[in-house]
Amino acid sequence: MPHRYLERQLKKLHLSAERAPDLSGWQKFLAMVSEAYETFDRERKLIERSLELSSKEIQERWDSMQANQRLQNAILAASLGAIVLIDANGYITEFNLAAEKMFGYERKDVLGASFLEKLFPEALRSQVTHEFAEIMENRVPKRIELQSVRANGDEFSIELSAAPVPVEERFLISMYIRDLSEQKQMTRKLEEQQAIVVTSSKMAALGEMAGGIAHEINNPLAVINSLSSQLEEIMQEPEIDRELVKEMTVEIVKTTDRIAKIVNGLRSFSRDGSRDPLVPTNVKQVIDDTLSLCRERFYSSQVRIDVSDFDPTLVISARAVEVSQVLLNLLSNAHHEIAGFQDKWIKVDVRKNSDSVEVAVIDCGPGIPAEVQRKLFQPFFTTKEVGKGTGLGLSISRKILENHGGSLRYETAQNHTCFVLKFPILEKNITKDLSHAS
Amino acid sequence: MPPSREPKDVSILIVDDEAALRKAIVFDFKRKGYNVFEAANGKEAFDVVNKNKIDVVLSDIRMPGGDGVELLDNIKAMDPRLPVVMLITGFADLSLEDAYDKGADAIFSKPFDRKALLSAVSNALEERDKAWQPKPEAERVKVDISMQLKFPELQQSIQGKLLNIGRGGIFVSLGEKVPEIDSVIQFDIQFEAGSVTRLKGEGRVRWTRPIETNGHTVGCGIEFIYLTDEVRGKIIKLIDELRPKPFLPKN
Repeated sequence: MPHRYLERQLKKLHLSAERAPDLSGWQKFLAMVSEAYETFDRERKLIERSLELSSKEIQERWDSMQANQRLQNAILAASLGAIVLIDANGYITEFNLAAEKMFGYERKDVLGASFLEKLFPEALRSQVTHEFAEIMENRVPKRIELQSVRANGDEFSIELSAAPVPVEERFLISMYIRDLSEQKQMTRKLEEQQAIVVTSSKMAALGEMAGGIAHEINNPLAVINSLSSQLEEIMQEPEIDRELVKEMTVEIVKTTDRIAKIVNGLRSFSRDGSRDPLVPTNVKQVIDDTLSLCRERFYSSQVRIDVSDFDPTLVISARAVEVSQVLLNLLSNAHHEIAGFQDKWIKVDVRKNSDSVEVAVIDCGPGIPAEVQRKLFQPFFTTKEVGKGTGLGLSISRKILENHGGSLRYETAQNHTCFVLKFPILEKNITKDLSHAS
Repeated sequence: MPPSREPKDVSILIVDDEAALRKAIVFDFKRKGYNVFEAANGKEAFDVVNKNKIDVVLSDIRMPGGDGVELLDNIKAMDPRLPVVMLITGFADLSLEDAYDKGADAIFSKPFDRKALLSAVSNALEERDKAWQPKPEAERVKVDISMQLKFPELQQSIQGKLLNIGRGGIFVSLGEKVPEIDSVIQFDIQFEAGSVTRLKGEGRVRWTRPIETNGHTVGCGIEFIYLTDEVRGKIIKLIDELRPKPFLPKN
C-alpha cells in the first residue's frame, strides 16, 4: 500500500481529533499500516533472496573459472607435446613446459615475442607466415610438417597442429608441436632392435642346427678325402684296377653334390631376406633346401620326416629365405617337443586349395593345451626352459607370413600338433605352368 | 716281450652309419691285411664285439640307433683294454677332454688323414713297452716346448688332483698358460718322494683346459709318445696297478 495514501488517512484522523475519537477510523488505519508493512517486508525478502542467489551464482562461476584455469594450466604443463599460443599478430601468449624443453627457451623469455622469429629459421619464415594466414582466413585447423629451430640454433623437424581459437571477438592460434627428430630416432632404434631380434632368433635356430650341419658336411668331406687319397695310392701301382678307380670317382662326384646341396641351403639362410622382393618360388625347392639343413639332426635322433606328395612345380609368391626360416623354426620346435616320444615323426603336408597354398608341419605330439594356444604367437612366450628358447620364433614367423599376404595358424590335426603356413595362390603361375606343359 | 701281432691276426671293427665312408675305411684296412668287421650303428657294433674277438674298434660318434659315445662307454665298461678310436664330426659331439677321459685311445676329426688313422690303429695295437720306447732319430717328431714340472709325491699329487695318469697319457695341472693342442712337449716331471721320482719323455697335447672350470684346475692332457728307459717300466707297472680306465684322464 502506497505510503502517501497512509499519510492522507493519518491527516484525516488527526484533523478530527478534537471530536470524539473515531475508534473505528484508527482501527482501519492501523490495519492499513500493518498491511503496508507486510507488503514491504515481503518485497524486502524477495530482494534479499534474489541477492543471495546472485552472489552464490557469482561465487560458483568464479570457482569454476578458477578450476578451469587450473585445469588448463595442468594440461599445459603435463602435455608431452609442446603447446604454444599466439595472438592474431603472431606474438606468443602461452609457452608450456614441454615447449621450454623442446626449444630450449624459458617461458618468460618468449612471452610476447614473435613466434616466427623465435621458432623458425629465417629461410622458412615466409612459408610459415603463408600457412598461418591461411589458417586465420579459413578458420580451420591444420597439421603441417615443418623445419624448426631451437634456441641453440639446431634445426629439427616438427609436426605442428594449429587451430584458430575464438576469444572475445578476436582469434588466438593454439599450436600443438611434436618433435619428429625424436620420433624418427625412436623408429629407427625400434627397427634396428627388431632386426637384431630377428637375426638372433635366426642365429639361435641355426646354432641348434650347427652340429648337424658340421656332421653333414664333414662326413662327405671325409669320404672325398679318403677316396682321393686312396686313388692317389692306387694310381702309383703298376696295374690299375680301372673298375675300382671308376667306382671311386663316381662316389666322389656323388658326394660333392651332397655338400653342394647343404651349402645351398645354408647360403639362403645366412642372408637377411626381409628386403628381398616376393618372387615366384618353388614350394618343393624351399622344403627340400630347409630339410637338407636338419635332416641329419632328425636322422640321428631317430625322428622320421615325411613330406607328402604334391605337384613339384607348385609355385608361391614368396621370399624363399624367410619361408625357409619359418619352416626351420617350426621343425626345430617340433623336434624339441617330441624328444621324449617313442615313435617320433614329423610330417610336412602341402595342400593346394582354390585360393591358397597351405604347408602344414605336423608332429606326433598330442597337440597344445588351450591355455598355451592362446599365448603361442605372443612375443617372448616360450615353454622351453630358460636359455633354450627366445620365445620369438612363432611371433616372428607369423609376422613373416603376414608380410607374404598369408597367415600362420595353429590347429589340431587328428589329435596331433599342427602349424599351417598359408600363402595366397599365385594365379598367373598356374596358367604359366599349363602353357609350359603344352 | 711278446712280438707285435701281424695284421692278419688282428680283427678290427669299423662302425659308421655313413656307408660310403665305412666302405673307404674298410678298403684301407683290408688292403693292409687286417680282418675287418663292419657295423652301421652302436647297437650292432656292441653285438659284434660281444660275439667276436675284436682287437680294435674304430667308431663314428653320431649314429642313429645307439650312438658312439654309448658304444665307447659299453666297451670300456666291459674291457678297458680294448682300444677304441673315435671319429668325430661337429663341435657339438663330445669334447676331446671327455672323449679321452672316457677312454678313447685316439680321436680323429672328420675329414681325417687316413694314413694317420692307419698308424694310430697299429700304435694302439703295439705293446706299450715297445710303443713308448724312444724312437730312432728318423721317426722323431719336432718338439715344440720343453716343460719342467715339480710335484709332491705321485699318489699325493693324484689325490690332490694336480696330476693324473691314464692308460695312454697324463693330465698335468699348470700354473697359467696351457700349450696348444697337438703341440709336442718334452716333459721332465719330478716328484718329491716315492717310488717314481721322475717322469721324463715326450708327448702330444691332446686337450687343454685353459681356464678353471667346475673346480677343475688349468692344465692339459698329454698323450705319451715315449718315456725314457729308466722310467718306462715303472710307469707301465704303475698304470697296471692303478688300472685306470681313462686314456687321458681329466684330473
